[in-house]
Amino acid sequence: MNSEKKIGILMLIPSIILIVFFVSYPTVMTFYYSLTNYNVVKGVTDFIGLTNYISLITDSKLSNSFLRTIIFVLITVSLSMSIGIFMAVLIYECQIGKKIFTTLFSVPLAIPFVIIGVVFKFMLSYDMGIVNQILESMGIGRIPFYSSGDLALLATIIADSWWGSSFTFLVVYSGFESISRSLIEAAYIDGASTFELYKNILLPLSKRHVIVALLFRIIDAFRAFDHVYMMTAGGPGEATQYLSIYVSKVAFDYFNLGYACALAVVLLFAISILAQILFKAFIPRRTK
Amino acid sequence: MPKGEVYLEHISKKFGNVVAVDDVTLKVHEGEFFVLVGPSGCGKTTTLRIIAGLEKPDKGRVYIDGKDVTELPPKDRDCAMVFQDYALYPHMTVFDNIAFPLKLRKRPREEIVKEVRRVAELLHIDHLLKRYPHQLSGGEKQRVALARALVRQPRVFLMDEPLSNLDAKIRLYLRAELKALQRKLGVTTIYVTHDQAEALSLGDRVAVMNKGKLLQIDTPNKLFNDPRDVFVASFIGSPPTNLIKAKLIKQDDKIIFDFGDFKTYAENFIDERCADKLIKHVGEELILGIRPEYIKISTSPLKALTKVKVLAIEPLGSEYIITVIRGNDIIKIKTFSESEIEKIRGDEIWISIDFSKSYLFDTNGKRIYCKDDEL
Repeated sequence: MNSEKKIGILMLIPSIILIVFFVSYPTVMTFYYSLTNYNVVKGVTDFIGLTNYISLITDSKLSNSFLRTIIFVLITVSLSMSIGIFMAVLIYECQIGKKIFTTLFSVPLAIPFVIIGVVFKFMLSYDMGIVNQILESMGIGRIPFYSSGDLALLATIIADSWWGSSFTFLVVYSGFESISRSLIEAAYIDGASTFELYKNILLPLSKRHVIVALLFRIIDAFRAFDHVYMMTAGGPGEATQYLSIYVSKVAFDYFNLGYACALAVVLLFAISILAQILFKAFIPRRTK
Repeated sequence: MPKGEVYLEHISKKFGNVVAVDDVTLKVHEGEFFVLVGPSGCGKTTTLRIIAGLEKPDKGRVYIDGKDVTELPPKDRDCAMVFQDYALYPHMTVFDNIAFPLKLRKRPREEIVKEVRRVAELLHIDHLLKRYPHQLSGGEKQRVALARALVRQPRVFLMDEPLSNLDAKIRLYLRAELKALQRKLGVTTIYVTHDQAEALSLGDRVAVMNKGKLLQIDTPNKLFNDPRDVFVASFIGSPPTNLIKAKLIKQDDKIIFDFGDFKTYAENFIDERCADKLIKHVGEELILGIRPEYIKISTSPLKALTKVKVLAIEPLGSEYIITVIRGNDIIKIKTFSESEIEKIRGDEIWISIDFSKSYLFDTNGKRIYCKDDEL
């Protein structure tokens, strides 16, 4: 082994240690606990084989949670994709202040999800939320976002797609920016209107960016936790109890850690498989 | 058949503090091959983009066939353009690239197929129609770009250095083909290049630009033989005109050019009538322009003007380029005589100048005409 290789391996050690302690070890332990009846309150850790996995099948709370997650993902992904692409087009067409708008629209990406949750919780609050104050002053009246299941679902979708739109915007906009200016000019000279330019040139050429944004949006929406937890904590009832929130409830409200680990393992596999399918289906093997 | 007469009226364009185009007025005639030439950053490409509608001039108007198009977007000007980097749509086949302008015009499918076939045959790319741009060579890409521009039979054909990304051999080949094609189709063509040889070989008329200003518009021959500006003289020709500084002095009622290491009477090389015109320049430092082919070399000081040091001798097949240094000036000499070259021993030679073939420029670089018929 030459010295260059040795230095290379030496450089990798810190990150390998981090990955082993914070990713590999917890993953293995999660898998192990999923085969036990680990319960912090009862203080038991008995090996019970696949019992947890078998109870998953008949868990009605899980199927309800799964259904609500699907609704949440479908709406927030389509909403944030449309708004994000629309913003990318607007900024791309903007003649002045491109840099300022790009920075402004990227700000949400720098805000932790917990903060997003807190901010939206207050903004949409019935009594003191600015949204309801505006709605009332417009004569529409206040909307009790957190008292009905569907409205709470809507509230989490609003918060999530606010972040998601700026994510989509940034990815798609960078796709537009990577397209050579002369292609756009050529299209204009060939007689394209702005709509035809996007339809025939800009969107087809940033197809990969759009797909990447879509994949990340789907995966992120499936994992949505922090902001949803801050806003509704899964309520009212189980209306916004998406998969990740259900897992945390089982673990930390019912202290049924063994069962929560089984849920987490299934979620991990589900998201991994979904990601694989999406990547395989959408990302062409090699296009120039 | 579209006409395609382009008229630019006092066009100016600034980018920030940089003046890209400075009060340019020019007229391109119907069916003409018009070349804009100049060094990089001279404003030629900006001028072309203003005609295309890709840039808006700060001042001035653009007319195509007498119609003011200054405010019109590119698609309503009926100009086609070929870009330096070809600008082929990478996600479309060659066929779709060429067909794109027709599809946008909602032409019927059969007509599109027929027209694409026609131009593809014209440019000898009919065997490439199913390929994608990344499967083509540079020359083939450029043909596709030309085909896409030709397919809709535009009023004006704009070309922004279309050959400069190609290698030398293909460039020369396509150059001749382009000229023949333009003759055949008779479409008004405005062509931008930084290569003076390309400009001279292609253009019916050539406009030389520098620092945003239009210096001279003429036929290639006139441009070469009758430069109006010191920049034109120093830009056109390969190698270009040598510029030698000389102070004009008056001594014993005679006007004399003082070159530093030698002096010569003005009447030696300038028509007598010119003396009157030169008098007002007495005391000024003028610039003498002399083409490399009008400098004679000699291996002895007899009948020569000045001694110079040889830096390099470059054989170019039928001719030789000799680079010599005189004081701080580099002078290029062109000779066709092999025997003269063979006589050179060491690095010192003597040169003499055929003054009757030289040009005089004033301190501002404007040509001083001496013979009346030149005015």
